[in-house]
Amino acid sequence: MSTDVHLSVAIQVENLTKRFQAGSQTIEVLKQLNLSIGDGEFVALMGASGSGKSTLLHLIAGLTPPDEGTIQIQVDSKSGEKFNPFDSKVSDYDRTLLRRRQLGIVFQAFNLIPTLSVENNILLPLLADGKTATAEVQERLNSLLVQLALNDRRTALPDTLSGGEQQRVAIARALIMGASILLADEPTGNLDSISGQKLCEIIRTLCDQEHRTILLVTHESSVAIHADRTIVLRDGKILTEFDNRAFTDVTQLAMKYQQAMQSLSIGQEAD
Amino acid sequence: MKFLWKLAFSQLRYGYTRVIFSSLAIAAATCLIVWMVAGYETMISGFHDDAEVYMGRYDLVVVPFTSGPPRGNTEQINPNVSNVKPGSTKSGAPKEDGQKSPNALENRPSDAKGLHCDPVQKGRGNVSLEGSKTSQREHQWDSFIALSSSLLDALRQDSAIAACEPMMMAKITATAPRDYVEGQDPRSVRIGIPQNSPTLVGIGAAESPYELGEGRWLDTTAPDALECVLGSGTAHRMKLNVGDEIIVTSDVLETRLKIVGLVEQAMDAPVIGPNGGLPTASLFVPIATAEKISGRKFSINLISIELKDGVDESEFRQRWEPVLKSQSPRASFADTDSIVRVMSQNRNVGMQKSQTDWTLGVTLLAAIFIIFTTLSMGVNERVRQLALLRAIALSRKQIAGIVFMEGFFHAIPGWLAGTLTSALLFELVCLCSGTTDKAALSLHWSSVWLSGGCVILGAAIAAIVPAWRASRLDPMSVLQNTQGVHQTTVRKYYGYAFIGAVLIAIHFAIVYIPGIPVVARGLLYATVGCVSMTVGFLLWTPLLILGVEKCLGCLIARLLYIHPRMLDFSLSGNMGRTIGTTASLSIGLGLFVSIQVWGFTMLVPFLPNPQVPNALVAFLPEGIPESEISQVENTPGIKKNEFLPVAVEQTPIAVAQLATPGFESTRRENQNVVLAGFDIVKGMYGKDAIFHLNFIDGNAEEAREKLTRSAGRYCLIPDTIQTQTGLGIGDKLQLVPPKHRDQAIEYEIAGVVYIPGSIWLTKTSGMRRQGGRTLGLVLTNYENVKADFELDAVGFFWMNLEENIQPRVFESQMLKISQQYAVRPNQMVDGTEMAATRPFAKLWYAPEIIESVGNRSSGIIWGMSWLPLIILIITSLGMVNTILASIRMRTWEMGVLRAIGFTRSTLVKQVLAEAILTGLVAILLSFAFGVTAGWCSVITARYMYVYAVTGLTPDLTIPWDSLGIGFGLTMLLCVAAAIIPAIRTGRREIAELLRSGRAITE
Repeated sequence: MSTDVHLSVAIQVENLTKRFQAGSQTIEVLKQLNLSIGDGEFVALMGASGSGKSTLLHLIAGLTPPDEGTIQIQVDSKSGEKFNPFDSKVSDYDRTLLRRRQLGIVFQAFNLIPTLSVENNILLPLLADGKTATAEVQERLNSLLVQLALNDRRTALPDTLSGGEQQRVAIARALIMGASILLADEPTGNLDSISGQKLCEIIRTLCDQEHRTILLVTHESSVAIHADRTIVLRDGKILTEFDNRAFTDVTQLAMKYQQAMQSLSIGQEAD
Repeated sequence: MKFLWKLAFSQLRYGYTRVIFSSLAIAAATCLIVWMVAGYETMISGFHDDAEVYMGRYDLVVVPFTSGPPRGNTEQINPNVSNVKPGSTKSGAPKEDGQKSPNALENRPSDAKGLHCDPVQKGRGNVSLEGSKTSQREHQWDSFIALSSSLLDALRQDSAIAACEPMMMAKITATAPRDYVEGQDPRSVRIGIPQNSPTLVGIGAAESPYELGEGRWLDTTAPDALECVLGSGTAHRMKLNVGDEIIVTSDVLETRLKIVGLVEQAMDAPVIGPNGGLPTASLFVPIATAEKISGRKFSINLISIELKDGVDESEFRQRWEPVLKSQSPRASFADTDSIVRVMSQNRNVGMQKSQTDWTLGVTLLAAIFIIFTTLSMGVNERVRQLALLRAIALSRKQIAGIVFMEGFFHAIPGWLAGTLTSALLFELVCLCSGTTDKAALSLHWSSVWLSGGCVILGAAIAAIVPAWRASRLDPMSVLQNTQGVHQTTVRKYYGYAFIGAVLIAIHFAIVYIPGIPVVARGLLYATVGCVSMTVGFLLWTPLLILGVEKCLGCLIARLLYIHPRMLDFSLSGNMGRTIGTTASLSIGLGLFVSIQVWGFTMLVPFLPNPQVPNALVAFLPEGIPESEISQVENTPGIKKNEFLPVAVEQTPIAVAQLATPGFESTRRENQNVVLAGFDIVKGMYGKDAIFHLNFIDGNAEEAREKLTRSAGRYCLIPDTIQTQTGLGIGDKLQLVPPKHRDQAIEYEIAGVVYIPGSIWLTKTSGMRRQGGRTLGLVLTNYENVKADFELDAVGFFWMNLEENIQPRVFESQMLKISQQYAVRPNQMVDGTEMAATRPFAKLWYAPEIIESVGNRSSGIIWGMSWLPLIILIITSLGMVNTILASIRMRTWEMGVLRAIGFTRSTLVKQVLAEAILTGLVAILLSFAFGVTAGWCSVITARYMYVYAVTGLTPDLTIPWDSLGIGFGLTMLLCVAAAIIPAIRTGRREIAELLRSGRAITE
């Protein structure tokens, strides 16, 4: 686990509010949320269903605009240059470029294009950027395939891969452009526990060895424990957060999480 | 870009069956375009060959150009300039003998001065009854205009001419002996019916001027020989050969001629001048024979000229054109180039061009819908995949680009396959038909590019909406599956339907609002009206789909023994796909319905019905004495007391009235009416009335009161005249008696009536006594017509015949009566005498007319309907795609249904039910569209000039039996499209369904 001190901020979220319309009812999914994730930090987002975890991730990815608040994403760690995906001057195309070049996104499911081989799925962002598979790209691809244990599956189609393999391909695709930030929305949700753990180890390695910033949404403590910090969301607000370095095993984190959720429930009932 | 191509191409492998079927549909559409365009181009390219055949060995023909007075200087007749330029343009020396063929005219007096004609009166013989005073009656048989013989003489003196051949033409009825019916005059079957018989051409040429196919040319040394040379096309149509006999019937003679040769004649030729030029169907006879058959002295209707080698044709023309213009009637040259030019401007060419353009448009529309449906299905199925691509890397443009490229991937293979298939089909047709002229039937590059352009443009247009939808996908909503709330969508469909209703109303407004100028209305109808109506019905489609699903879904489910709930959302579950499929099926079916409704509705006014008597007997050309009326009345077969003598005259409308408002758009050939006088009281109001007319304006009693007044002249006009001229009750119709052209007789209008079939009646019964066209039939009192037009014989009888009558037997009885009254030799306007016209009788019998007009029109309407039906078949290939997509999307659901106990046959029936419901939506949509479009076209045609339909007010006629064929075909195609995919799905194992379904869903 990393013990580095994070000097610069990779993702800065301030007073973020997001509302959805469900029929005649307006639901406030995120309420004046503030969050800061350091450069090279691995943060896990936990919370019950509907707490706003995925919405926060999608807002950061620029997939949906906030109703209020700002998001700042560091696009250059050396200069510390920041990018607000929903600035009035930023176009949809700019946000596409942000996702293509600076952010890597991994979803729980529907991750791969079924008609493309593993290799082509991984190269998708690169090809979309109009780049060709140069020697450098090939080297990076090979390196990722080896790193993610996919070397022997490079020509396979997605439907012949196991769930773990598919998610590893999705991670490889997220990293092919050299994205400094990886956003993962319940990447282990469809995997068995062993495959899930292996995936978490890979993500941890990416953070430790390649200094990538990782924001991972999960329900599972066994996944969150791999992060440096766990933030718990409840009804669109940060309920609490834990420094995972304080826990010696996953049970402690799970208990803390359960306590936090229950205390609020009791508090609410008392109210 | 390469990456996008790669991504789009990868989809082909994934949905290859869909690509195959959409490509098949596009290939079929391409074939259709290529064939239509090739047909048009072949026709155009054949003009020159036809013109060459038409001209034979001649370089020029001289024809009467107009029947009007000469222009400019009229003194020239002998331009004594010979302009032979030896060896200048043709090889060899000029021929010495200027008169190549001996000509029967050489010793004839120069008697014909040329005749002036007006719309009704052309130069023709005068026919009168034996013992009666001479009348100026002109009849329609022989209407060719003569050129002056002095022109021929002058031409013959020009040393630049190698041969100069005058020809005489006369209309005849030719019958093959096997088709001849004893007791029937062949002339009676051809009145008003387009010319099927060849035209008699009297010619003095010693050698065949046209390519001799079989036999020999006429022997001009034996001018009395009863022999003829026939055009090969006519011989083929009449199934006659060299050595056979042909029966030729004219107004003065019926004779048998032996066919001694067949000449090649042009398949098609333009109408040049009032005589029409040399007919493409000619029966050539020696001049003496022509005179005998026509009963007239030789007159020059056409002069063919062969120039000597080396003569500059343009210089020759330049020299003679002023002379021809100064002739009376004016004459003109025609040559190969001018014939090609006129052929290119021919109405048939225009119609063929319109049909080609129409095919292009409709096929383009079909291609658009097929590709649109396929792409829509692709976008719907891959919504998560596209959202993912949007989320991770791709811009909106790139997503849209993928969809556009997929569109091209569906279109281009189909186009290539269609082009290749067309080329192979051309080869096959050439091989099977033994055609050696492959150029006439081959793939033209223009059709290849045109079809390619159509298909690619269609693909691009079809991709717009799916590409827009794909690019607007909200990745977050899609990936979280929070899209679409059914109720909101239904509300939206009501909105669409409202907008659709407004658009359809705009179409009706353009058709019905009075006061819009004709041209503006036509333009608005074609551009705004049709488009708004089409879009309007398209906007109604979602609501129609919901309605069919709700109302007919239960019925279909019960018929197929499945639970109605299994069909819930079967169509509306994927509205875009269903709209695309039903719309594409409705292109062909809707057009089919509109053509059928339009055609059969337009047919109604042409058909007699029980409102008018079922028979009219015409004694032509002059009629019989009034004293002999009882002889006709007592003929067995006529219903007792249901018999009326009719005094008929076709008479021009006075010039003064033509200058009044309402008549300004009346065409020159229509500036006359057919006046039919009969005993109005007996015929319309008596116990045994044979007319039961509906009054459009006025009423029967007021009309009776006026029509029976002893003073004044009153008449009933048909609604067609009212619509065209605006005349109504109290207005007067000013008519000019042919014998007193300086007078005008006024008939006051006592009522406006609907006379079913009156246009066809006047055309086919002989009532148009002066020939040509007419504004309409006007009914009045017998005595008025008789007195005003000085008729001393009765030519027509209206009657009701018994139902079991044998019409031809009855007609032969009438023929016997007519033959009792021989006529005197005719006195021509130019003073020459024509042999006496043989009288004959013609029976116009309503049931025969209904059958023949019905059969003929039905043939034409079905001829117009084949294209929509082919398009329906093509678009049904898109239906296969829809069914495949539907099955594919519900594979998981089907697996679950099978797992919980549903049988294989239930799944098969579920798929079939969806196809049937889709077919029903297409049928209802097409019916609504087709009836609206067909009816509005009928109404619009009333405003415009379309021959014989102007002003008609027909009732809407829906030909259910014909529509049933179209609807049945649609259901058959829908079920056929679904049956194999349905059975295949039913056969799949449960585990396979679940496994495949999960893969698709994820």
